[in-house]
Amino acid sequence: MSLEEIAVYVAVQYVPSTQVIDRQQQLRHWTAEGLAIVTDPCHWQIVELTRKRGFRGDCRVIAEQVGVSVDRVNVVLARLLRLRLLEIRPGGRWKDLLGLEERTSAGFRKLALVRIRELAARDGLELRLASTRSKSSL
Amino acid sequence: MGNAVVQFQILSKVPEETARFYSKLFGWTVDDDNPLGYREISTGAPEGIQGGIWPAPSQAHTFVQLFIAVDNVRTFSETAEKAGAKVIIPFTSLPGGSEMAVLHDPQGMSFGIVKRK
Repeated sequence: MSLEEIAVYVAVQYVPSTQVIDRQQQLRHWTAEGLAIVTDPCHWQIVELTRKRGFRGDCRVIAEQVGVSVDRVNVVLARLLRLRLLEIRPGGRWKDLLGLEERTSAGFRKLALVRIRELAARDGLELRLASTRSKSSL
Repeated sequence: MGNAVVQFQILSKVPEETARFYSKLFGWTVDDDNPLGYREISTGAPEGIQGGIWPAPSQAHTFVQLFIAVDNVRTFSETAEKAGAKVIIPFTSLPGGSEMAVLHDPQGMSFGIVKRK
């Protein structure tokens, strides 16, 4: 075996398996979703806007009302749809799916994070509350 | 009848740069004058399908989704789940009356289904 071939076998030892990489990507995805929920107030702002009289499901208008770019509105919209916090019904009606008795931004964040945990569990990921043993916390 | 691939969608963390790149390289036109602010791509060619660009979340790579025509988005989503797919974005109504959903196939590749008005 040549030195170059030996080098390949040595290098392979340091490369995580596909299974590990897939798991890391899933974890990265769900923790990023959680971080976006707790750090970006746009999620709650857009959900609250949908309940206002005269609301228009036009991302350009929403962007002006919230004071952000249309792209940011669309990133947030897609996340709200992915997390089943919002749906756009036939006829273009935006409806929040929160079911909260008390509508506060803190209540929204809590519900959203619970939803993230539920959806992560579908991927076989257990996102625990912070503890000394867990590798991921939410 | 068949289920044709009717649209491609590029998800990009820098959608404006992506639009500029493909416009310049291929002469595609990109129009975002619609209620979603969706960057609709017209290739200008009579063959092939048209597409669009959607902003990707920060944790995603830039990638392409294919959208496949179906008769009924809700029932097809259920059928796909039974076949091992995961629904990522459930039934969603689009401006203009089309309907769509986004799923992951059993290998985790995302694809869209769409019922055009």
